[in-house]
Amino acid sequence: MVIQSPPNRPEPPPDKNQMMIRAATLGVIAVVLFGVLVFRLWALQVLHSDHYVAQANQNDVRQLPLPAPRGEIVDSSGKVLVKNTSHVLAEVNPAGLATRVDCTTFPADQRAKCNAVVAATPPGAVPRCAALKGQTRCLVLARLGQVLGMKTHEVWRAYEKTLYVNADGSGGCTPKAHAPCYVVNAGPPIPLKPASEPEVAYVLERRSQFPGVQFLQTTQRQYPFGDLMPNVLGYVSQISQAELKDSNFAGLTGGAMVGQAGAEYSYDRELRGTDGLLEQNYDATGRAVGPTYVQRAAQPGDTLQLTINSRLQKIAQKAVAYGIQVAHNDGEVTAHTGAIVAMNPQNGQIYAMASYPSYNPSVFLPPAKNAGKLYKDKYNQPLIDKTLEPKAPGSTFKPITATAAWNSGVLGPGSTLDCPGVFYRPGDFSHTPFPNWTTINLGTMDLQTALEQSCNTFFFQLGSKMYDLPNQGIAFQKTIRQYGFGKTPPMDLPVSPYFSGLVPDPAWRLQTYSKPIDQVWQPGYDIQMAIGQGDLTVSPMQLAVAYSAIANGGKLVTPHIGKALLDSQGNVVKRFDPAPQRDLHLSPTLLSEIRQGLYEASHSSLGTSSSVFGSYTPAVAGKTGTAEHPPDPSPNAWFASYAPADNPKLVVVALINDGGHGGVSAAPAARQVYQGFFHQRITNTVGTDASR
Amino acid sequence: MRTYLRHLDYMMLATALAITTYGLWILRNATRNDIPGDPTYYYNRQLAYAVVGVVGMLLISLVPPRFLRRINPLLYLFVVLTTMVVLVIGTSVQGGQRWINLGVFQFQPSELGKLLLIVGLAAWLGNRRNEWSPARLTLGALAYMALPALLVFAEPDFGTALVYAAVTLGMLFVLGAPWRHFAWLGLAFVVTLAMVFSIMPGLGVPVIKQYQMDRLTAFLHPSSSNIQGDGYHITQSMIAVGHGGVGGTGYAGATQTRLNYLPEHATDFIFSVVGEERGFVGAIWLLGLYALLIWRGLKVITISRSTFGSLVAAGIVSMLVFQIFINIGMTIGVAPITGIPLPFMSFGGTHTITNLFAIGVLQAIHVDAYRRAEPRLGGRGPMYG
Repeated sequence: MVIQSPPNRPEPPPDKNQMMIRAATLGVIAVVLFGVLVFRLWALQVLHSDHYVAQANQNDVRQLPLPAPRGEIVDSSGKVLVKNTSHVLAEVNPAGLATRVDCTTFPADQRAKCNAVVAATPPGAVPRCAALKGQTRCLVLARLGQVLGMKTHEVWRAYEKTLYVNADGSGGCTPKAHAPCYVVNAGPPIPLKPASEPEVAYVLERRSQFPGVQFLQTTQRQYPFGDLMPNVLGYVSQISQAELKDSNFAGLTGGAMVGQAGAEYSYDRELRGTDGLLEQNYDATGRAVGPTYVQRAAQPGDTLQLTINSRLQKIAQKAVAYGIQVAHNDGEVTAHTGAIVAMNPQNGQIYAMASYPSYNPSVFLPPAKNAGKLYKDKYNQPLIDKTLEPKAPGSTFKPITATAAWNSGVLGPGSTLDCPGVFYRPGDFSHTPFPNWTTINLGTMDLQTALEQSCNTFFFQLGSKMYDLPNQGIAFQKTIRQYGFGKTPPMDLPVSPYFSGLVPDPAWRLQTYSKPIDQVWQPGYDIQMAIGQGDLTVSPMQLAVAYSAIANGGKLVTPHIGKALLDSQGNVVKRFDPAPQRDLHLSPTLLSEIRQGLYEASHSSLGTSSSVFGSYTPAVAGKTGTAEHPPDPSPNAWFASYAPADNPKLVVVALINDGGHGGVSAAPAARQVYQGFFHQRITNTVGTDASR
Repeated sequence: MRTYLRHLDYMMLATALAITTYGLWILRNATRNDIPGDPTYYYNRQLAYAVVGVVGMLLISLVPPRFLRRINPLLYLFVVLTTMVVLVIGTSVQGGQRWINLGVFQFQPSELGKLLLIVGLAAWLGNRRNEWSPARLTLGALAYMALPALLVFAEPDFGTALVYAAVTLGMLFVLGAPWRHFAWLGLAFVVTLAMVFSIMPGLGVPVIKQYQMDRLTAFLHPSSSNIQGDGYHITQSMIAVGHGGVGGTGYAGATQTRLNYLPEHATDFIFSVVGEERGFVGAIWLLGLYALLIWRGLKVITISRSTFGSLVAAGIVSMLVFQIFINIGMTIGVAPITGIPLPFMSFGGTHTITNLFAIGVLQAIHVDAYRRAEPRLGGRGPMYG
């Protein structure tokens, strides 16, 4: 009925007035609707445009860090100790691989197995390659492994090990412990192995056979001097979760490469530079579109110049080995580790800092396969810097005892004491003997002779007398601490808090021991400490700083290894010249007596190291130390010294652990360093050395 | 012929051509990356449709309106039959069965149906105007529209069904249906909404499909929807429009469009491309052109010598206004997503050709108004336009 139209007939004219009004109303409605649109557009595009621009940018632009080249490390003569090498790393990008297994690509006879394995796999994950070899991803990886010279199971594991999930999709699965594990193809590209140029070319020419495979130009640390000074240089690796909270690494995010020890750690901020920013457009399906462009260029790190001289360092390193060899020849067969510190006594610049045995820091470069061996070597403990490890100092400590006695009034100008074969503390009813190194009474002597002949009983008396001072001779410990002992050296290397060294005192005893009888501070402790024995421990570095103070007239220098920062053109950006820690205000009379004693110790016929240095020029003033450390039968051999005696330019402290008598093994080792410093040309190209 | 050439509405013609050209330019940029290796795939096709449409428009403008009036039962029959054919043998795209495959061309009857329905209904109403009571006319018009609308709704193509309804209401309005009819219709609309969205599903009788329901309501809470859903479409569209700012990003900077964050950017969301690439300025420019076209259409209502002509013009104007508002409103979050294309801008063969044909019909009425000798409607004549 509706679609049937009545026949056309002359049409009546429209009711013009009403229609006009209705048409106008229709126009008004249109105007209102357009007005709504215009106001809405105004709000979106004019008022709140910023908001949407930000969202649009967030949508499509992803920012990638552009790693800044890390600064090099050079020695005092400008020789490169640590540099960067660039290489190409083969990576597999999970985003380029399928997230599902397509069983139809399998040969007919394996399709049933494929379907069964896939059915048992949780959604979103794929089976491990070991569980289902025919997956496209596994074939690609195996192919890549052949190109890169990796075994098939190696390359599978290298790719999958960070992608394992449990059956419930949770992470942290390890195939052996919680089988079965599955793999989720997601996350950042996974680095496999450095690739050579022909390998890269081979893959790039056959792109379609290697989906997801990409190559990353990257840099790695290289150590031209090998194992010369890993303790000084440190190494670099990816920042750990704990390190993200370290103030030294403030502002860094996961994945950053940071210095882990040595100068790499303490100068990390300067070496690191500032990463740049790359931007890359992505489309709605997550594919990268177009080329990347540099939003902010990377700011390369500064070059760090060390005060270390690689030649002297090499000599020092060999000297420790030589000292150990000498000790072996002398029957001290257990000698196997040691340290030498050589520094400028005037300003604290460290010229050499040898810890033996050494290792090559390149073991920490990825994949760091052999780093574990270093941790496991409990006998040599190569990762422990022997220049910073505190040990009993033995007789090398006597000048410090003398200073304490002088400061507390026990010893004065012209004071003399007897040097018996054995010392008994007056009023000690237990009659404990404190023996000298000889049973013969060497007679009455002053301080310089006591140092020259290393008379223990002389110093036992000082220790005993200081104990009798009010407050149990705390003045003794006070002076020792003023010399910088008992505290980690304030230097530009990370020093473990365990390496502060121990200056025993009544408070420490009370805190450390539980039995009341052990908690009492006995006179014997001060007496032992007077000759650098007992619980006292000091590191070669601390001793070198103390001897620098004696050498330079009482300034306690700040030891440091950083000399300057250089920009990429080699211009000095910053010089490091840390102020001395404090002035010890040593009495000139005391100083001259100690210096004279140390000079005589290496020169007079009765001196402990005159056989080594008696006729050596320039004149070396030094004290041997033979520190017993029960239950080890062999004492540690020390030699602490400076030269030239009248105008000191170099302090050398040598320590041969289990090396026997200081004069036998440590002093000859120190002599090698003096020989290298004074009789072979050592160049410093950048900056002038006032001390030389 | 001289009369014809003298009395064409050249401003309307120029405006329609300007929008079409603008649309081609925007489309060319928007779809450059859509078909790999064929940056002009959509552009070439749309250009062909536009040429066919313009030629058809000029031919139609030569046809006297009374001829169209005479064949109105045929036109109506054509709409109903082709829409039925679609339901039986149509081609489906994304859940909607809307096309008849003609080999070189995918014909979408519901689009052409918009124009044919307008012409048919105008004739039907004009013929009964002084014979039927207003209430009978209104109910009759609704029934006339309801058959094709229900068929289209069944495809399902809810948007086009809405256009049919809007067009019918616009024509009844200009015809002079009493205001109370519209009040009743408004009430019926509210009741229907309640039935469709709340009561019937509550009784376990789903009237519209879930995806339609989601689309219709997504604009009320865009951010809560998931990334693939319709909320995502609205969010990305609004980001694109806002990204354009005042001056637009230009082609290279239009990352929302170029990187395919903006869905359906050739068809339903072409306005978002305008908003992103050309900014507020470009969007206002486009709205201005539409306003000009609508003004010329309103003028045709008033100068037409016949009720038929006025009603056809009213239907076309209603169609344009409704489609423009719903489409643009959808891209900027003030109207629901209904799949209604933007006239002269969205990619689509039948759609583009139909709109240009509609301009041709308006031109024919315009020319006819001068050809006749009878006194003209209203005081304002073509001399002023």
